Amino acid sequence: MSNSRVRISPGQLLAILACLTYGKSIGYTNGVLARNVAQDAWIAISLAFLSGLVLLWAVVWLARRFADQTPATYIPRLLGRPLGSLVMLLLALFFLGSFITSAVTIEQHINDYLLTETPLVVFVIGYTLLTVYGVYLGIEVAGRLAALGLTCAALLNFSMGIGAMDKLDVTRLLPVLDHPLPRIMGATLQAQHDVLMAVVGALLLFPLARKPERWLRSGAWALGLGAVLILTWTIFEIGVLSPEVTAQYLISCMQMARASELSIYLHRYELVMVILFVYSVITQSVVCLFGACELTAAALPWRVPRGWMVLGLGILSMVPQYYLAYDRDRYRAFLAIPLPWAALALGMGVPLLLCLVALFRRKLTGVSRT
Amino acid sequence: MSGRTGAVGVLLLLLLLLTGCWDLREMNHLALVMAVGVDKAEEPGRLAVTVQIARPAGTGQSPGGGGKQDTAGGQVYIATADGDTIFGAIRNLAQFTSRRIMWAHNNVVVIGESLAREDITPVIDFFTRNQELRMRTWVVVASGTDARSIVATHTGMEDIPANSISALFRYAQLPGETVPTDMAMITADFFGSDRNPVIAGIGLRERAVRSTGDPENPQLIEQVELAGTAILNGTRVVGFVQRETGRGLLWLRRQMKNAVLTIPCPQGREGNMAVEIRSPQVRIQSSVEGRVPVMTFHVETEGWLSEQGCLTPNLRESALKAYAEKALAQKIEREMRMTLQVLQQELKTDAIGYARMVHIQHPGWWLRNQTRWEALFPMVKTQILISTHIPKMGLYIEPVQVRRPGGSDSEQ
Repeated sequence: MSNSRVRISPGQLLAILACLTYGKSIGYTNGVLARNVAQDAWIAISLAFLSGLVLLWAVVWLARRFADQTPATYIPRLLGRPLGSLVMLLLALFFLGSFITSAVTIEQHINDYLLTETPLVVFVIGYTLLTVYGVYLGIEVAGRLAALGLTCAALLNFSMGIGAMDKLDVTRLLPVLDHPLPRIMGATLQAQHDVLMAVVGALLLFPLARKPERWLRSGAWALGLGAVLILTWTIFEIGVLSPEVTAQYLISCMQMARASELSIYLHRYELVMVILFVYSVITQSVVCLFGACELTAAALPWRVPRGWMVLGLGILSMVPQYYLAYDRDRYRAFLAIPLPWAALALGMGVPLLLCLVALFRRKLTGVSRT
Repeated sequence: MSGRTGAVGVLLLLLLLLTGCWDLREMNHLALVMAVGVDKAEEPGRLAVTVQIARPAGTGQSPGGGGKQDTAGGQVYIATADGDTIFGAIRNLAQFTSRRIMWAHNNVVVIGESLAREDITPVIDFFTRNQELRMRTWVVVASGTDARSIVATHTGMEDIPANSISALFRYAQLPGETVPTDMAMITADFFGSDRNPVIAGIGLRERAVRSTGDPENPQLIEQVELAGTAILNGTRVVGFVQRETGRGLLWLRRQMKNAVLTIPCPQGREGNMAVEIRSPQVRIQSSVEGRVPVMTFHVETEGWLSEQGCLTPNLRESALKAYAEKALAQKIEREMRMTLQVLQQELKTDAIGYARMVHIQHPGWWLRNQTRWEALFPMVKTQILISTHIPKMGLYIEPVQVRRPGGSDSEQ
């Protein structure tokens, strides 16, 4: 990792990981899940987070085995240079894909609800450059931004909740387990990407975080906090809008915001929502692009200056960003099938592969810092 | 210093972005719609849209008396246009209005009764697909009239009539005869499968009085008033419930918050008593022992005895309360049963949400029978268990009694 002297605190680690789960999930995942399992969406999300906790434990084990080493260092040691480079490129692809979905999240939110006449390409270019600048500033700045993002996310949840509490009808969340358990388990796949962003993000960020003995606790708290923040939206979207209406919209959280009213004097809640929402999404985007750059740089056989790498990947990502964001139905289809499967293969498959290899090649592992 | 200068330069450059480009909208170029009405146009297959637009130059003036039909003067500008679709009709408004229509501040969507009896889908679709409209916008059906008349009527005490209509729904719980329906509530039932939607009804009635100089012939002016609730079967209105049946619907849908019920005076005396319903709680349980489910309502409510229009000699406070509690329970049950009769036998529409309750409480039975629900609903039996308590008789602590000798209470 080129910036190995930078360290983030356990609190910043927690905030970053929680932000990684939040933005895209409340925007799109609830709608995707409502289309699949209606009012049982919250069960699917809870199960996805529980499975994420298990994977997080494995990732902490792996990271502790390699002490101060970053994935860019220990993956080639574990798998050899050619295979290691391939695996790092796969992880970079996971992060780049996650960055693209994160960027599309904010671009579509603004373009669909606030600045509807502005050409999409303006958001794509503007937001990508903003994220590139964020990555250029470094992960420690992202950590501080994450603290702001998490605070704003909590405020957003609170204000949305009090603005819509009078409309919450818990019977819309019933009956519980209305769909067969295998179907709900299958639907957890749709929520895995949000959880895996945090878990794979943890793989990347643990070596940069102080106090390794608190990695597991920070990670678990982050997932728990992320789950609570996301489930609040799931419960309100289904309880206020109904499962059918949640399923009807691509960006279900903005529909929820339209149904929330902070007194008759502040009835336009969409702008409040975007203002409070944007910091956690920027954190998500910055960390994902940061991960993509670091792992791509490590995988390539030649050295690329960090700034050029960030800018290059940012510009490269604009094409798929525009392609996905432009056609809403295309993005809906992308969220429903290719994204969850790819996320599962890369985000869960690669860390498990690394853990498995580390288990069998114990001689390679370093002394745990704990 | 050079860094600071550079930063200031960048900030100055960023100011250019604040001018706005594609989404620039100047306030004085906008027509802020306060209310919109949608009717069937005279030409078959077309829709007519009527908008009530706030006139900034006109606000702040005296309302100038109720009932004025605003057109180009006063606080609001009323305009109408038709088209093959709602969107087309709105675009046609731009052929003669000088500003661009903006929906963000719209208070109420009025659907003409003739359109509502045909299909409300275009209205629901357009206003939920459009990003400007709020989901808290009130949606109503014009009962016995068209939407244009409602939108064009200057009603209430506010400068902008739409604000008066909006306030009717904000305080609709006081008369407690109309389900206040906003877009969020309607879309939830509209898209859902286990409860038919209902929409609040409003109508026009001569209610405001304007002095004409002749005390015996004051001018009566039409005002917009709450007029029960429209019941939909699928996407079209099939009937209305009003007054007692309107209240019954609120009880059955567990949306009753406050109402004033009239019960007869005790001891067979002439006159009525008014009881204000407070803190009602309604629970529904279902059982499916036979072929058809049985629903049981548990109603618990407090009532404040707010008015007693008769003398009650020799009646102790406890006896009066016991009488009022029993009469109140009978009144509530009668209203609920009247509404059930209308919904189950006349309209055959599950606007209560029985289907949802059965689905929640007996998912297995529901899975087997959901396709037959439309046929089963009229046969569903309902038990109603009501518990009432009157803790308060306004500021009085005794029933009304006149104690002076020779008074109308003199038989005591």
